[in-house]
Amino acid sequence: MRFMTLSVVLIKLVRAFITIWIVASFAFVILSLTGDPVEILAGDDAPLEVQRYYEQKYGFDKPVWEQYLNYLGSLARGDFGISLSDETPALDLVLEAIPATLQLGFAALVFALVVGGILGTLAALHRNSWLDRAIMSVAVFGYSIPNFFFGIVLILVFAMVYRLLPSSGSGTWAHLVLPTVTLGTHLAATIARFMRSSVLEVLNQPYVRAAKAKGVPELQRLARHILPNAAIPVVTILGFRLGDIVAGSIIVETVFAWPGMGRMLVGAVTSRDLAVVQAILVLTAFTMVLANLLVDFLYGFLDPRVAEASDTRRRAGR
Amino acid sequence: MSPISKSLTFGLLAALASTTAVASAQAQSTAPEIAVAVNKLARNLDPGRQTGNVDVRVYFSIYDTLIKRDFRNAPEVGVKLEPGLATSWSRPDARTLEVTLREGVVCHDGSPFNADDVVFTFSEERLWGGQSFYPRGRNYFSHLESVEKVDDRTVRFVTKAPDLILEERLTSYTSFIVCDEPWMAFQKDGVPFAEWMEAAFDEMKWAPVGTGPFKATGYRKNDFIRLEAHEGYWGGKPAVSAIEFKEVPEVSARIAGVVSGEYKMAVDIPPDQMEVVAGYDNVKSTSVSLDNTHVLVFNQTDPVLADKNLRQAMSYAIDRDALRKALWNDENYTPNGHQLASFGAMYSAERAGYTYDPDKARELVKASGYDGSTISFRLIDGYYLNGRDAAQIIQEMWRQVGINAELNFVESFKQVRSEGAQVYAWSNTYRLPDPTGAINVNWGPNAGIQKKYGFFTPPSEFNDIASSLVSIEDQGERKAKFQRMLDIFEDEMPMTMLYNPLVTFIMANDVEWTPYSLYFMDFGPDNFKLSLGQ
Repeated sequence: MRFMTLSVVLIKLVRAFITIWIVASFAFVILSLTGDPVEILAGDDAPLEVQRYYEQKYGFDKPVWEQYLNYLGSLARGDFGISLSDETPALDLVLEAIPATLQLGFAALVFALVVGGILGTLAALHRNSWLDRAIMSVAVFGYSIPNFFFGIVLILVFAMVYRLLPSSGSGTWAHLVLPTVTLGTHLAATIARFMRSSVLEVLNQPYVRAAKAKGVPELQRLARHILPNAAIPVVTILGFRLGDIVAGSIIVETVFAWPGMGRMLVGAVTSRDLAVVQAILVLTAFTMVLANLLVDFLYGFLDPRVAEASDTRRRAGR
Repeated sequence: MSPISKSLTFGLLAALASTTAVASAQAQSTAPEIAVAVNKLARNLDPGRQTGNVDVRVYFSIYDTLIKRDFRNAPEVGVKLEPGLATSWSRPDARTLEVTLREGVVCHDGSPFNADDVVFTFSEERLWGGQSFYPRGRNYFSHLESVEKVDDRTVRFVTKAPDLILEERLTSYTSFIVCDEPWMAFQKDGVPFAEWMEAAFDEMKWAPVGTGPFKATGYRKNDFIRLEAHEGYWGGKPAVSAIEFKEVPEVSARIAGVVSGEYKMAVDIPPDQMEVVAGYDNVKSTSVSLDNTHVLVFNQTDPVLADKNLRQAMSYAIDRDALRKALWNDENYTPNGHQLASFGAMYSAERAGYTYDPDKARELVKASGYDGSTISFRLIDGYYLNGRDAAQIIQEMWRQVGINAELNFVESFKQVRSEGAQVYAWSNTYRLPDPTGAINVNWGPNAGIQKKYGFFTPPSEFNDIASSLVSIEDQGERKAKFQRMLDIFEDEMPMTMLYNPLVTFIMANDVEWTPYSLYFMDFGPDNFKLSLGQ
């Protein structure tokens, strides 16, 4: 077994570094082009003295290039700066919000897997029956409905008309229900459709027929032979769709006042709170880059051909 | 039937049902605690640092002022003052105010309230000196000469020149009394004032110590601020044991939360939602016109708008009655000039203010030699309630008198005022019931519009009067000068008025609460009650 050479590792690290730098710069440019943080911090009708005080305190009186260099400098030291809206370290705020987002994301994922998986399996087992058609209609609906609209409909029905569930906020398990359903429905619909076709395919496999012929009880057949095999393509698409949950959380957290990272990002963008936006973006970019990097290294470790290929490519000057 | 038995199907359905089954909502606690849904939480709870509407509505419950302004029983003209932390006050001379402090008041940390707390709150280095820790304080109190403790229960304020409205100043922004002990604990020998104050601020911005009906006990960004009743409050026992301000950015979620009983109250409900709210019989609403006016600014330095005939024409062309009817159900009003009835002795009921006269507008357009070129009208979409609708209507009103305006939507006031600014939407708050806390702040010689942006260059008389208003002793002379100042202002027409916006709250039927025309939300025992029998 051969590990990647040092130079290959270095190149990958440099690439990762450049990616994070681009993300950080992008955040800086977009936010400084479109708004005035001091105006948002001090209020538009604040006396000039107050505006000047904040400009000096947070360095907005300096030329933009200098602000940019300072920003990169402190970023390099792991200092994400101070949130302008409440004058606390941005990193602390973001770290505090991560658990809420993870909780909601995880709940939505479980919801999507269980509901999508069960509905898809049912539809396949009852192919072309009324149940199949009903489930697939629901799936098309769930797939097409925008989550900001679906969320408000759920609030209307379950909070306002029947008053079964809290409309927004967090704190109890009941608070988690509506946002989870809203966030997970799209993925559940996707999974249901994949699960259906996947189960149908497995049902026709010789080994399933063999198991049936052998007299394996149907529940056991389902649990041992059909579902595990049918799950493979579903797990594959799950990887692609996880990003949807992250993106969806921005809207769903705002609609349901869920105190997570997505909502913090929206609030920080509207109030031009550069430090918080940058902390969220850079942390997200860092996680993605790190994950990719680890996978790359892992591939190289598991499969020597990958390492050798990149080595040869480099030697060939490509 | 299908190859798989019914039992399996039902088993799967049951599993499905159990995953979507809902834990029942938590049992209602018997202690009266309420949640209030707000669009945005306070940025911190330090009354010297922040004075925005999102901030004051929360910290108003944490602090008291020496003198209180009675918003609920306001007279037709002027303001009614009532005792707060001061039980009485007197004027030995025009420059001096002596306040007698209330006895038996306890701070949130248990320490007794006394003259030291007042002297600390109004200390030169903290509030009003040239380098004061809170630069905002200079805006209200830079004319103080000294604030001294006479004895434990008496404090003497002396101003550099006579200040007729010092009492009013003590009711408002930056006058909230903080208890000095927790701050002084950060003081260190040899460490500059601003430095240890900053450390204290960092420590206390979410755990401040005041004397108000509630003390702050919890905060989470984007989520909640929790206040708990201050048992020893001098004004009586608050009606609830805790208030949680919950940040709910979506209007529909705020309404839903009040309808479902999750929140007792919600703020910032736009007028177009009132029909929705009226459909629920367990929710009621209340509104108040704010001490704030939505205005349009005309940039005098722009070549097209440099002619004041054109600026006046644009003002005469606006039918404010029609605007208020269309956008605010005619529930709000337009002040007659840059003054409010609460200005009292300074207020002139005879003033016509900004009127509608399309014929005159057409004449003035002609007189100005306006060539029909497009005038840019900038606004930040969503910044002012009904701002976009108002702009579209006004654009049409201007067209009626031959003025072509184009709406330009931008992101920030920086962009609003950037190169090419001609007309833009803005608002002016009357932070004190006096021109020195209103027109002077927004349009006076030290205002950004004169000093920083240069959009308004008034005749020197305007600035002279503005500067002199602080210290004129004779009430009649002061009023005459102010009215003269308004004449100049309306003739120069650097801005015109639209209306004072209406702010609407919704709440459960059992809530008895009155909104104030400044952004304060008063949850004290006098203004907030939950009716029994609910």
